[in-house]
Amino acid sequence: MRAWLFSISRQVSSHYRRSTKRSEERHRGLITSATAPDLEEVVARREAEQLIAGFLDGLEEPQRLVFYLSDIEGLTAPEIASALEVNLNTIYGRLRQARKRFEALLAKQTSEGLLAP
Amino acid sequence: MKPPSMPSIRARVLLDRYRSLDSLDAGNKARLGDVIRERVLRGDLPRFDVQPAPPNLPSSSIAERLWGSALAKVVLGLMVAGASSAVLYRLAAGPSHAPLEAPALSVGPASRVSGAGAPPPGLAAAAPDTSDAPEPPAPSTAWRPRVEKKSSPAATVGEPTIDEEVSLMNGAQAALRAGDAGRALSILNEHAKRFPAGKLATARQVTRMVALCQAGSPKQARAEAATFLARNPSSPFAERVRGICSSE
Repeated sequence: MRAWLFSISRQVSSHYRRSTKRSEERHRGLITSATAPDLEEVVARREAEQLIAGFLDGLEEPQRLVFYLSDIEGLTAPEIASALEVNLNTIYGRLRQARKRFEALLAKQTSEGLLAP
Repeated sequence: MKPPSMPSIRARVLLDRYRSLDSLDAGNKARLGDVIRERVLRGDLPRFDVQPAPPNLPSSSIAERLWGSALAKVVLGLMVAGASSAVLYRLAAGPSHAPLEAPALSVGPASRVSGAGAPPPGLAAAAPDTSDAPEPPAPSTAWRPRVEKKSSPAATVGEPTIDEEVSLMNGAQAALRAGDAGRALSILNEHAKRFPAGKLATARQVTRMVALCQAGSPKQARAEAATFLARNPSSPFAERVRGICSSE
């Protein structure tokens, strides 16, 4: 894997992203900031972080990278295809599968009462 | 293959919240932007699997009718690769269950452009063009992943797809590599008319600036660069645009 892509994958991977220290720093920053959102928003963000980080953990690396670059970073599929030097249809396929799994996770969490409908 | 459908509203809300907490660091973002920019600007655009011909394909183009044939793709791909001496158009036979990969340069739009019969327009014609004004900026808090835009009535007739956009952009890049900035601008104008808010609209704008520089209109290129940067300050192309005409 090319060095720059490895670096991005490493950041997207759970071990790097979800270190306890980083997470605590983020939320501490939110709470103490002069423009801190209210507590409800902090809780909502933390809920989203836990849910999505856990979801990303469960994805295979190719899907995780595409889902992250598309739905977190906001790159278009052609941009991702260019960056990764992967066929655009492959990107579409990976993104479709990842989104399908994400929606399934949301439905499951909702049905179990872990996520507000 | 069609792009996947958008996430649900609830998924978007969660993703937006998550995005506010986690994003690629500046170094990785810059590197990613550089890689995309370099590849787009040198015409190394994403390739596509062979797709069956659309059901309502216009019958005016023999090339388009041939497009559904894998054999035609091989032949046309070799013609493209040979003619341009580019290594960008790779033909690779996959396993039997996988489709043959097509060259990035689709014959449909390219043939329409090259077959127009008009001489390559000079800069005088291209310079006053304003059809390619950069799109308005998206609010920073907006859901960034692009929603598949509904095709306009005009666009629906010809069933334009992303591969047509790629084909036009490849044509423009090929013209630039050949030193024909006027033709590149003509093709970019064609792209702007057909896909004003296309997926490659940003790449088109940057490519147009490069073409203007190459054609000896740095003043206009820089003016468009300033507009672009004002509207897209965090674009992956921003750094490249800031240095527009410095190396062309």
